[in-house]
Amino acid sequence: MKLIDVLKENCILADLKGETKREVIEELVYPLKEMNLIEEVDEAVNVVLEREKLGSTGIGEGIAIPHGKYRGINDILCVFGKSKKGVDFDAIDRKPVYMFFLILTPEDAVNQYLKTLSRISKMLRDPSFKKRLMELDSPKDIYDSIVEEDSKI
Amino acid sequence: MVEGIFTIRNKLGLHARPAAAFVKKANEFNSSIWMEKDGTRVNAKSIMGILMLACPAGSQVKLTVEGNDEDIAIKELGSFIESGFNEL
Repeated sequence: MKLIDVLKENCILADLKGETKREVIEELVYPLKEMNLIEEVDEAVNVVLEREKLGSTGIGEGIAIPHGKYRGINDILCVFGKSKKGVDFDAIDRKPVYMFFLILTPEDAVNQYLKTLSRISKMLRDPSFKKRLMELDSPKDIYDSIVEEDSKI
Repeated sequence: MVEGIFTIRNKLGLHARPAAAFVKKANEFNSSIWMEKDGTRVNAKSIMGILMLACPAGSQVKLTVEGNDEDIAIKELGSFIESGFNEL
């Protein structure tokens, strides 16, 4: 699978304003509602926040993968967001988080979910790609850059 | 250097939470630790490394440990994997 199978062009947020975990997650969920991919923003935010209670999804090096199971979707949905000043997300390395990949999964998509995580990790492994993602300002450029990297690996 | 092959037993596989728990445990040891699946080998002290492997339930991973605490490290990390990361 490719990341762009689950991450649509309209689901790129180049300038997150949120300063708390809840604010950022609300922002990240919003494009899915805008695109009519989900109906209940509150429910989506809550499943993701509930998952955070089990341990932060801030996996270190400025990256977080907040996620949760959302009823009523058939495919994995992903939103990418970037915060310029960084967010305190209780990350494992205690450092601020700058890049977020929000993932909503259907109830029974375990393998697809593991593959999505793998795809994201493979892309971010390349430091020059990570740097480029941080530097780009427009959602279009970010999306194009992700498409390009996605096709390489 | 010591090596061992272990089976992922929890039904969700090696997803984000067990990956974080495993890496935390791995970082308690001085040894260098690698995890390998299907020919891809990653630093087992990195969550992103481990997530790259996309290990579902039933898959096998190889641990390679090298350092002054390699014996205890492979024993504890291997049994942590086999325990289903305490998620069973």
